[in-house]
Amino acid sequence: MRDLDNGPERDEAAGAGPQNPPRGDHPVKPASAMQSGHARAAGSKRKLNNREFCAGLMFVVFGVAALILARGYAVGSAVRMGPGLFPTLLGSLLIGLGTIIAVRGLLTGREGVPAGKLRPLLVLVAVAAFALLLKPLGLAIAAPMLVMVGAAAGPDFQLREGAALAILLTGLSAALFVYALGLPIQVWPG
Amino acid sequence: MDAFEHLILGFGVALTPLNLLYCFAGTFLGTLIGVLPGIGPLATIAMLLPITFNLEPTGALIMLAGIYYGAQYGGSTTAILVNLPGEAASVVTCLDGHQMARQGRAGAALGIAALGSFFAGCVGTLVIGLFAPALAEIALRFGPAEYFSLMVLGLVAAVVLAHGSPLQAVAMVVLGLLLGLVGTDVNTGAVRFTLGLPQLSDGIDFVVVAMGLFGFAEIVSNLGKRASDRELVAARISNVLPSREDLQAAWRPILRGTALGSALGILPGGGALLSSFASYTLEKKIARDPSRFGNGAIEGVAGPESANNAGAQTSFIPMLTLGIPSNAVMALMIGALMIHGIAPGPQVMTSEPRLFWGLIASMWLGNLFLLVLNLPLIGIWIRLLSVPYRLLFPAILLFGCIGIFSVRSSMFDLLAAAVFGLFGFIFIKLRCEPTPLLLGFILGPLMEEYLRRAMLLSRGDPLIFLSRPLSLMMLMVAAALLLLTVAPNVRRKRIEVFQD
Repeated sequence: MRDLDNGPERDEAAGAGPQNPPRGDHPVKPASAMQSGHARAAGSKRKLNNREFCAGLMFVVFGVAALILARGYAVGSAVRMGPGLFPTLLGSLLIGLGTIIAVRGLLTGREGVPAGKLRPLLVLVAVAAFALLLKPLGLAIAAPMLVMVGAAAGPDFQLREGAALAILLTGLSAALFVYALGLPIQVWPG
Repeated sequence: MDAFEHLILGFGVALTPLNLLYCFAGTFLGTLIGVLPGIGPLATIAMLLPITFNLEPTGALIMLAGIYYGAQYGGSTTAILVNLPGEAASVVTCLDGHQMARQGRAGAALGIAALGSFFAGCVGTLVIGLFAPALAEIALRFGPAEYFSLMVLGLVAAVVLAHGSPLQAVAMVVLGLLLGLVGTDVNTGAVRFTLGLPQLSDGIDFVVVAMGLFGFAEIVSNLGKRASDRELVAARISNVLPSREDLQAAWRPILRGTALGSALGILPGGGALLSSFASYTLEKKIARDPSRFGNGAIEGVAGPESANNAGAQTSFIPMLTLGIPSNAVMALMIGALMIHGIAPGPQVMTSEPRLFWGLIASMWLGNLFLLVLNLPLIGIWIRLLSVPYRLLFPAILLFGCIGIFSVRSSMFDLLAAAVFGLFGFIFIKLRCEPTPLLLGFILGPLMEEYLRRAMLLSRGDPLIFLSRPLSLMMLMVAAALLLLTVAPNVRRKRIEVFQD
C-alpha cells in the first residue's frame, strides 16, 4: 500500500499509514513534506535499517557487554556496595533502555541510517598510524604522515598542497610543542 | 562587604602579568576558534587541555575560560558575516545578523553584538560574585544523598536539552557512566572493565574521550558533508559603531537577554546555547512587529548575543560551587581541576579563594579584552574566514594528537582516541548525542562514590534519597523535567526551536 504512494526509495517518509496511525500531536503530513533533509536508506530491509533500531541494538550490546564483564565482580549488599553493584545496575538499565529504543524503532522508525562515504574514516586510520609510528620514528616522520593521510581523507586533496602543509605544520608543531613548551616528544627517529 | 573584599583579592590575582597573559591568550584563541567554522570551542578546549596541565591551576582555568567565552564572540562574527554559526550558540545570530549584513549594516550588527556581550559579561561576573558564595553555603550542608540526587538532576537536565530523542540521550548518559567506571575502583581496589589491559587500570583519560568523540568524530563527519558555498559579505566594514537608533532599539533586548542568560546559565544543563535560543524566542514574542524577525531586526542580534554571553559566564556557577557540570565544556573544566588535584565542590571557594576569585575577576577582564580587541581586529578575523577547511582540519588533527600524547606519553591513548573517534562517528550517524555521554563519564565514579556513602549512612535503605527533603525535591524536579520532555507540546516546541 505504501509503495504505491511513495515509491520504493522513499521509505523513511511513510510515518503515517495503516500500521502507524497518526497520533494526536503529529498531524499527517503529505509525503512530499517529509522528504526534506532525510538521507536515503541503503538497502531494502526497510524495517531493520532504521536509526532508532540500530541505536537501540547498539545500547543493548553495550549493556550485555557490561554485564558479562561485570560477572566476576562482587555485587555486595546495599550497605556495603561491592564493585559489581553499580556496573550491574547500569548495565541492566542500558539493556532495558536499548530494548525500548529498538522496539520503538521497529514500530515507528522512519529514518534509515544514512549511507556515508568511507573516505573520511581515513582520518582515524591516520591517527592510529601516528600512534604506532610516533615513538619509533619520531615527530619528523609521523607528523607529515598524519597530515598527508589526514588531508587525503578530504574531498579536495591535492598532493603538492598536502605536502607543503605537512612540512609547514610539522615544523610549526616541533617548534611550538617540543622546543618552546618542552614536551617530551621525540622529533627524530632512533 | 564580603563580596567586595573577595573581588579585590580576585583582581589582585588576575592582574598579575602571567595571568593577564593567559587571559589574553585564551580570549584571543577563543575568538580565533569561534571565527573559524568547523572547529568548536569544545574540540579546542579538549585539544589545549593537555598543554594547560603544565600551568598552575589558576592560570589554566583562566585560559580555558577565556577560550570558552571568547568563542562566543568569535562565533557571532561568522554568524553575521557568513551566515555560518562559528559554534552552536551563534545559530540564532545567523537569522537576523546575516540579514543585517546583507542590508549593509554588518558593522552595526557586529558592534551591537560586541557591546551587548560586554554588558552581559559584566553583569554575569557580578552575578557569580554575589550568587556563588550563597549557593556554596547551601551546598556545604549537602550530604551524599543530596549530591547523588543533584548529579541525577544535572544529568537529566542535560538530557532534556540534548537534540533528538531523550530516551537515547538517557542511554548515552548510562553508557558514559559505565565508561567512567573503567579502571581501578578507589574504594574496593577492584579493577573493572579493563579487558586485561594495564593501560586502562587508571581509567580512560578524559582528554582521550573528549578529543575522540568531539574532535575527531566532528572532523570525520564534516568531511562527509559537501562543502557549502560561503558567501562572505562586505569586504569593507567601515562603520563598526551602531547608530543612535540602533542603540535605542537594542538596549532593552540587551537587558532582557542578560537577565535571561544569567538565570538560565545557572541551571544544570543550561548555558550559552539555551540562553540564546530562549532570548530570540522572547524577543520575537514581545516585539511589536514580529515579522521583522528573520529580516534584520537588531533585537534579534542584541538579545541573543547578550544572553549567550551571560549564559556562558553563569554556567560556571554550578561547576565552581557544586562541582556539577552544566554542559560538556564545564565537564572538561572539572576534569582539568581534578588533574590539578582540586576536587570541585563548595569547598573550593574556601580552600582555594585565590583560584575562585581570580578566575571571576579574570572573566571580567577577558570581556574587556574582547570588546577592545574585537572591534578593531575585525579585518583580520574576516580574512581568516577565507581559510578553507581542508587546510584547517589537518592542523587540528596534528595538534590534537600531540595533545593527547603529551598527557601520558602513551601510544595506547592515541589508539583509544581513534576508537572513540569511530564511535563518535557512529553516534553521529545514529543521531545519538555525545554530550550526555561525556557528562556521564565525568560524573560516573563520583556518583558511585556518593551512592555508596549514602547507602552506608542509611544502612542499606534506598529510601534515603526520598526521605531527605532536598534530595527528594531534586529528584522530583528531575522526574518532572523528564516527563515534560515526553509531553507532546513540549516536544513540538523543542523541534521548533532546534529547526529555527
